[in-house]
Amino acid sequence: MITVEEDLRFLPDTIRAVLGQTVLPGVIVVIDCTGRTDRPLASSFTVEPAHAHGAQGRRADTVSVRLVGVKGARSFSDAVAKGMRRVDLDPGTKALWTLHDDSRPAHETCLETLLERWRYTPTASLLGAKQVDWGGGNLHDVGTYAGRHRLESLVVDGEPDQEQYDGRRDVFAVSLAGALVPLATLDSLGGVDPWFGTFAESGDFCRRICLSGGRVVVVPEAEIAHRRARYEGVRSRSGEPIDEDAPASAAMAVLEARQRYYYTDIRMGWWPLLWVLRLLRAVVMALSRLSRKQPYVALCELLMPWRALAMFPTAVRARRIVGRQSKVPLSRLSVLVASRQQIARWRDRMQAFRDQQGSVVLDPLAKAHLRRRLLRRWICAAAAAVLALAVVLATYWDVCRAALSGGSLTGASMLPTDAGFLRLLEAATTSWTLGAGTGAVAPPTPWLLVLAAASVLTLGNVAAATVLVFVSSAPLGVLSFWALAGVFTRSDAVRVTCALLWFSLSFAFGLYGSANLAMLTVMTFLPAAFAFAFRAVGMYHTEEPVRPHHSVQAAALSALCFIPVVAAEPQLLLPLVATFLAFLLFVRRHRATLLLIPLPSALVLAPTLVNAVHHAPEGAWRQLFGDVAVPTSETNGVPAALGLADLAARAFGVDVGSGWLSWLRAPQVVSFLVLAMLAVLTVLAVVSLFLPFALRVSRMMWVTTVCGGILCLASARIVVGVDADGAVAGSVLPGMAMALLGVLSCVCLVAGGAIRRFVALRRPAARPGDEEDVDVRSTVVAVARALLVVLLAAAACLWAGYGIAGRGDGRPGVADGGLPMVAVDYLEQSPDHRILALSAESGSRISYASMSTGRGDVIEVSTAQRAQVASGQRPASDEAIASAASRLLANADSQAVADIAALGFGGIYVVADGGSENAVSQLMANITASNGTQSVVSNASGTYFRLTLVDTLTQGVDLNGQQAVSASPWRYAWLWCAGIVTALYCIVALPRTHRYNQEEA
Amino acid sequence: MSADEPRKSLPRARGRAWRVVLGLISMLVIVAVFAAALFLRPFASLVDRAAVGSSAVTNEVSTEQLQAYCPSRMDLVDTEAYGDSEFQVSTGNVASSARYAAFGSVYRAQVSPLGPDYATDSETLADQEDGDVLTLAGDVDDGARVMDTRLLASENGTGSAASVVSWATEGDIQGLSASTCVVPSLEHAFLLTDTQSGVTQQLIVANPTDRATAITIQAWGTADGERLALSTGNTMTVDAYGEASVDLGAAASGQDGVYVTLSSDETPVAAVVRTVRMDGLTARGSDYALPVDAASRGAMLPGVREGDETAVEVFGESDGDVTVYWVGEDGLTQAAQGTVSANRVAVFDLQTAPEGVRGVFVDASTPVAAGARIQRSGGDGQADFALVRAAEPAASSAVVLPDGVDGELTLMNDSSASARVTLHAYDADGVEVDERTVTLDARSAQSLAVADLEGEARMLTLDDEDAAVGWGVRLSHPDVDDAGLAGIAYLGATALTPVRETVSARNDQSIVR
Repeated sequence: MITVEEDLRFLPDTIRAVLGQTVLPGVIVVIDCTGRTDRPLASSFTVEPAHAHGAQGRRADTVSVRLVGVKGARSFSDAVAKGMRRVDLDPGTKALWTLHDDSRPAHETCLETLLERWRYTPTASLLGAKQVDWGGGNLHDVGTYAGRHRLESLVVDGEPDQEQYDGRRDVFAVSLAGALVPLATLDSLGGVDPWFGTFAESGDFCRRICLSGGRVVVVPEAEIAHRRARYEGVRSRSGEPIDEDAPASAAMAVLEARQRYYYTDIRMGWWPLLWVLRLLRAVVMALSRLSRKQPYVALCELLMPWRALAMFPTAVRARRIVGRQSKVPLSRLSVLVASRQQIARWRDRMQAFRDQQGSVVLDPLAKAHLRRRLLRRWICAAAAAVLALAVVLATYWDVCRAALSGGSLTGASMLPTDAGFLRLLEAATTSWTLGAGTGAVAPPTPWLLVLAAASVLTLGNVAAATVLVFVSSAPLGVLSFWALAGVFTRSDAVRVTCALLWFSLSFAFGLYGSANLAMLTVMTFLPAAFAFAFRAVGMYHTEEPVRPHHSVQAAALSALCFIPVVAAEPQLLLPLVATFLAFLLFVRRHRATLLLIPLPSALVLAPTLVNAVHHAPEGAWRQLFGDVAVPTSETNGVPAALGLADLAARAFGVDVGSGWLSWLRAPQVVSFLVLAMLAVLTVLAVVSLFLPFALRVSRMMWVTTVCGGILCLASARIVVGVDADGAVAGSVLPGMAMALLGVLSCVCLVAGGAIRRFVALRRPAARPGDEEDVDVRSTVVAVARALLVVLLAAAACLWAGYGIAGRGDGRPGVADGGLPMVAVDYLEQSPDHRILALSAESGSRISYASMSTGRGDVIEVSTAQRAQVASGQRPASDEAIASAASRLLANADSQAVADIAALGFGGIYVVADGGSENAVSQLMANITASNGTQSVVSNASGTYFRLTLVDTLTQGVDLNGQQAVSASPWRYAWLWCAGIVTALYCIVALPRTHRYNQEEA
Repeated sequence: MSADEPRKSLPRARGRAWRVVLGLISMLVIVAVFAAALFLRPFASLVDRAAVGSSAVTNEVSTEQLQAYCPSRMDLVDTEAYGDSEFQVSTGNVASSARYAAFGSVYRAQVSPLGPDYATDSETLADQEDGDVLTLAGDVDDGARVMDTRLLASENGTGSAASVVSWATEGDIQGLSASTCVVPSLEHAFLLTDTQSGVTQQLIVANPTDRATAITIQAWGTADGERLALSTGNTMTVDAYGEASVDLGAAASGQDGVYVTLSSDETPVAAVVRTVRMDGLTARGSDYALPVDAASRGAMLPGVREGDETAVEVFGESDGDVTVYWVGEDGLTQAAQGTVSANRVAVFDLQTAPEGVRGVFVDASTPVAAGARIQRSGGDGQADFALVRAAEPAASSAVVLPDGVDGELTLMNDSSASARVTLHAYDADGVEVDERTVTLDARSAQSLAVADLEGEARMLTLDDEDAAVGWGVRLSHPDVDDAGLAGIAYLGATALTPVRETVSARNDQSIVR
């Protein structure tokens, strides 16, 4: 009985093998499960015996061939049973030889051997054959033994057949493919139960045979070459053929089959308890699968308990059948049970076999070549990273040295910080901002999570963490772009110079000069994230003997690298999503891997996204375009409709007027050269679109560039905040960084693959002319590449020099001042203590700040708050403080002091170097003259007044709002979800230790 | 590319052509989009706007510290000594005098020169034993002065007032000019006469604080409703305790009337405009132009007398109808009627004032700023003019007369009910010498000569509970009159009401580093 479905790839070989048997079956029935055959067809042929040596004359026999169609067969045995009913079998038929359409007898004596064995063991209830793979050399299984409610084959799937298992006779179960099934067995046991599905029905049938006293015998001499199309994923569930190069995973069906066998092997009374235990086990198994980089199987494991719930009603019936037919307990069948030692030994052998499988076997010459390349590559990369670190340290040595003595990094774009680690964590995870009046509800700034992670590295010192981010962004940025360049080209020189060019871009953008730590985070992690994404889908160059392959581990690493990028600049989430959708179009395979990459980033950003959408009519969507850097109209500009060229000039700090091609009239020679170099690199990137060997990748990176450019255009038009002069546009630096990432990647593509050909042994050229042609061409390519390297190096020097010397921006500084010690002590006593800082700039202008730490803190920055101010909403406490400060600047006003004390402030600090000396002394005189203040300490940087109106013990701002937000279930849900997902991704991303593999960076 | 790329069997020719076509199309699309983003500026209207103009919150607070800036004596813009001595401009025998006064509950008032000696060289206003007016007399020959007053309370009747006057009988600025002292503020607006040839309008901006500031100037003219492009640019910086000036006649020339606004970036500033008219070699008068108050639908311009050549300038931000009336003791007489266009100065030439006129009243359908120029002729073609600012009624106001000038009060009532006001007069020592109660009919004006008051009245205050009466003093100088020259000037009243100051407060987390 041969069953066949839509897939007809293997049927011809099977039928040929069946017809080539030395002993032919009397009736060959082909069961068409597609349902297209309405009426059974019959045919027959006569077999003339060949003149066999020494054989008696055999008479000619007829073999009839029937083709029947069945509909709705749930499994192999169901199809066979239905086919049997439709075909009227000869009453003399004693046994069925059941075959899948992809299981062919491996040699011509297969049936003869089976029949012979049956004659010699008449008590056998079922005879199975040895299962080998389609090529005939490797084993699948030779009968299975019973384990703990499962079947153990004790044969390593795929090991070569050296007749090592040919001694087996009685086993617990055999596969029904190629098995000889006596009809008496079928009748006595009521047939095979199709409920178990094709993967487990043979196991259940054999279990019932053995437990009811029968014998299951395996005949190792009879070999069946079984393709196992469904099991190996080359056939879909509905029978459609699947391309052999991209097999689907049958994990779900296999796990389901095993589960069904397991539950029906146990008494029904135990099922509830076992279900709970297996639920826990499912979680553990899922984690283990994740660590083995098999996320789909992990998902299947998680779903198994729920499918078990769904199947319980029907499992009851199957269990009853098993129970009814079990007469012999398993303990009496110890020969058929696999012992623990056997299973352990089998596991070891399987592990060793798997270890052997994954590695590419290389000869010593290839290994030496790879090792040399590895050393050379990593030395170049390390040298570049050290160079970058040295440049940063040399340029900002005084800042680094001063920062080591306890101050915090600060710059034109960056507020200093004086917070402790716990305060930082609280600010990073609570939807409460401290910078607006006495506090307001606003989603936490995502970049603070990055700072918290850096603070873990500096053992909780937040101020040192800012310096760490500043300094380490140099070597890490170089290494990450070096990794990305390695995806496109293997030439060490091009990779290193491109990485240094990317590093010099940080200088040219003025990121180091203004201590823009958020953008430095982006410049560090964005190339690495893209590099890992390319590795995840297997679209990258490697060294010669090694082949690229897709990797779920790289996908997880890419997802983790995107978290700091999106946390630092939330506006990058939008073009990244668009780029990923475009990537899905361009990538050939493994698309599903790409879809999981944005998930952790979106989760980490969840409060910001939810707030932006929830309050979108009030303009809260603007917070997506802000970041932790201070927005000023000098650096970011006023919202205006500008072209990309103008925005590029703005990003590089070149002041050009407006108008078409105005960037050609840059004021200084250096600025003009900087922009000209950018234009040259863009032209090179356009050239990369023409390269025939990089069609897909060049378009993918150009899509990145275009998306980054569109983000620039959008960001320059959007208001992110208001400063003293008016509205401030969003920063164009993130979009420009993304666009330049694409441009530089395309420039790397122009360098070509540059893979060092690995030649094991030099062979003389076939013809002398060949060698010359090849030489000329390779010389031209090498010269062109060298020119490119020179151009890139010159660009890197130009941009770095411009950034360090020519840009004219400020330098970062170290803030080690702040409130006097008395004031800081007061603030640290309780989390609800606040001090109001005032700075009188002139007789009619005053600035105020609500201090919760000793310096104007970066943890109090909130982009949502800035968007609210731009939309005209201010918290009531903010207005009250502004009014009181104005009144105090004009006159001595006791009511103003009382208002300030009523808000919960414990002191007022007047900054001495605010602006106008007259105004400052006037303000101090006014405060002194008002009731309720007492001057505590006065030094060169300011004067601290204590407010005496409210008792010190009860002083403090109202923390109810903050506590309500802090205890909110949404916050816990977000933290737990983000934490768990990130931990899962980390598990997938962890490197595995005991696999020695040759995949290279 | 990756090793997945076809090193296997070559695809069919059709597949390859398809790939080439797709590659070409995708390249063209990408390059086109990129080039468009690079150079075009689409959707120029899709630009986000903020709901507020600044992150600062402005509050109006009442202040007990007052400052007033008294300009230096009248001078010419350029006194270069080139050319024939006959053609050289000169200021002749110009002299000045000033008086400073502080009324009500005053803690201390002092006057300092504006310059490097600001903090050190100051004179304090003094009072007599029984006087409740602190006063000081002096001159502004050496430069401008700043008066600082500290009050004990902010109430009606408490405040400060000061005036300067300068006169000359020879030279090119023959005539009389007078100005009350200006309170510094972040914004000022001026309504000036024409900037034709022969007229100089010198804008002087003074910064009496210790922080330099930048000033932005905008001007509108009579030609159209567009902002004028100033040829000297529209920003200037003023040093701490310093002055800066720009010639608006050169910056916005050829207009028949100019409306100028200036705003200061950092600190409050004081500003006056010195207007000097010359017709060839003949002096045609000079005066100080002071900032106008907020626009309103009706403006009172007292001080006009029979025989004055009167012209009224009106400026509004929207279109409207304007009617100008002569006001006398009997009531209103229509003088002219017309329209004012948005952002355009409208000039009404009323010719000679008829008999019985005491002032001019401007009635408009939209809020406007209004000012008058009254001119008298003297001998040899000389003329002098005075610039009259709209009088703002207040519950208590004062006019301070410097030494040497004679004055004639004009009181105007533009409400529909009669008004009753009390006039107090003080002498040079601050002692009250006279008190009069005056009743004005609805829409009428009355005049009263200062010489008719008891004693030598030098300071006048007016108490007006209903705040319906506007008043000023028209000045004349005996020296100028004796020389046969025309010399008129006008001093408006300074309000003695609580002063409110605009303070802007900004949230800035970076002030403590």
